[in-house]
Amino acid sequence: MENKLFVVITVIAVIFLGISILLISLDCKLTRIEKEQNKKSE
Amino acid sequence: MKNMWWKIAGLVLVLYSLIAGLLIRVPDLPVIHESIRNIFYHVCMWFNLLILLSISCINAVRYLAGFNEKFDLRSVEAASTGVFFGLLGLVTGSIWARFSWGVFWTNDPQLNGASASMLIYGAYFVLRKSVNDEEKRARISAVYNIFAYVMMIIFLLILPKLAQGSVHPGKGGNPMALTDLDATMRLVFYPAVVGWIFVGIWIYQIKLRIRIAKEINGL
Repeated sequence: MENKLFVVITVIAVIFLGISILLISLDCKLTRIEKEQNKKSE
Repeated sequence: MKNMWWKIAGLVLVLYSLIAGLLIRVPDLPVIHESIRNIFYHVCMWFNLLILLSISCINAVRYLAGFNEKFDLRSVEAASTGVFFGLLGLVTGSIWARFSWGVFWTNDPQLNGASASMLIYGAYFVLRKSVNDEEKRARISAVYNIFAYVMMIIFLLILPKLAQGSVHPGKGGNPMALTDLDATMRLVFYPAVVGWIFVGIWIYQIKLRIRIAKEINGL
């Protein structure tokens, strides 16, 4: 039972870390695009 | 990343609540027993919904005040992110109901109110899709957004409290109103709420920035 619980927790943590990496990479990409757009408009 | 600290804080708090929520000792309350742990996930979704739909409504009012397109974009993206969290709230609630009451859905004022609110916001997106003229679409949907927000408050917060015979935890004298949480659960619940709100607002911001990049900058 204890082992099963830790497997579940590990799976949830891994999925959430994947979503976190996706969010961070999207945010960084958008920041880069916005900077390029600002440079162009200047 | 712009203003990174609160985004990282949100991720850390949610990760902490996901793990600690399954590991801590919880009080053995009648009917809900171990399923009480779902409060760390289910209730946070509704907090997020309320905050994001409030942002959406405020931006709808600001749009109507000056007809600036950026407020329309903010309003629609906040609404779509809020509804996404509302749907997650319905799913987590349904799973909780299965383990507490033995059924995924029951004729309860809180559950019906939540689904009615989601349907009202569903109509908001249908309405937006049905109008081709951009300015007209923004004006009509901003007015509807204010109506939808008021209806959501009535269906989600007011009517379930007035209704008799609710089986929902924390309603109609049932155990586990938020004030009944013990000290250990509060150590997970409050960080979970703050973390999910940060993550929810971050998702909304990302969606909005993608939309602005597409619509205004023509990407």
